Amino acid sequence: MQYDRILFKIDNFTGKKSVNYSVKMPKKSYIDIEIDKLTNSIENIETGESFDTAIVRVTEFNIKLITKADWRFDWRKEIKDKAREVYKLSTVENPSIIQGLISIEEKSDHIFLHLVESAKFNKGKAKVYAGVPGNLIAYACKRSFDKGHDGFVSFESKSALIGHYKKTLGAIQIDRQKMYIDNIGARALIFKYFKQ
Amino acid sequence: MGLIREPRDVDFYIQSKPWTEKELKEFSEIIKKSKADQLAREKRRTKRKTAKPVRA
Repeated sequence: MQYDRILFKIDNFTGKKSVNYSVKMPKKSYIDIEIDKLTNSIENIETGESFDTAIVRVTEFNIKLITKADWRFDWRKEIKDKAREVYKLSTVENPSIIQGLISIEEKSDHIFLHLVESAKFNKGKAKVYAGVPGNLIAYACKRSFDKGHDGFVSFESKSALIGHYKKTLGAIQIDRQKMYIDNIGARALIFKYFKQ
Repeated sequence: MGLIREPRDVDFYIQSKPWTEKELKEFSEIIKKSKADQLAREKRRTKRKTAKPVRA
């Protein structure tokens, strides 16, 4: 594939270089694809093997990647909402297989998580890969730093998962269902996942 | 480097209801307080590091 232009972006927080490809599309339209790579970020539960992953924004240009029947939430509606950004997580080896999705929105001083969902095959006792949601939430923290919000991320949790989010993500409970990740928690998540 | 493994029998997912203006304002206050606390902690740490040892 021929690229119209290739931009390199240096991340302020990690100093990591990411590549921004501008792909020439039919009808003289262009799409910018920004790929953020994570290190050994999902693990095959059976073999214990871990894989590098990539996070790519899903827009109306590549909306066809998402098959409605494969997901519990209405991701097409999320993508069409201009205030929200949807990102997909896949392994570097198999970029066409979506491991999980996240929908985020930038607020005045933080990033709000609307939806996070793992792919069908990463749910239940027979899940193939572990680490998909943690991975996506770490990315949301990184976006928060990128946008100058010091890593702050907020979301609502089901009661049964609150304890897990406290333990695994370092999330802090505000009230019955509201939770957030602060600067310290966000840094810990980012250092866990992103190459330095 | 590491990764966050969710327990095998637990599925992590998030489905948040949008917050009202009032809820967002309350959260902004939490953010402000958290940042102020962190700054104070860092100042205390720096002060401790730069303090001259007391000789008897």
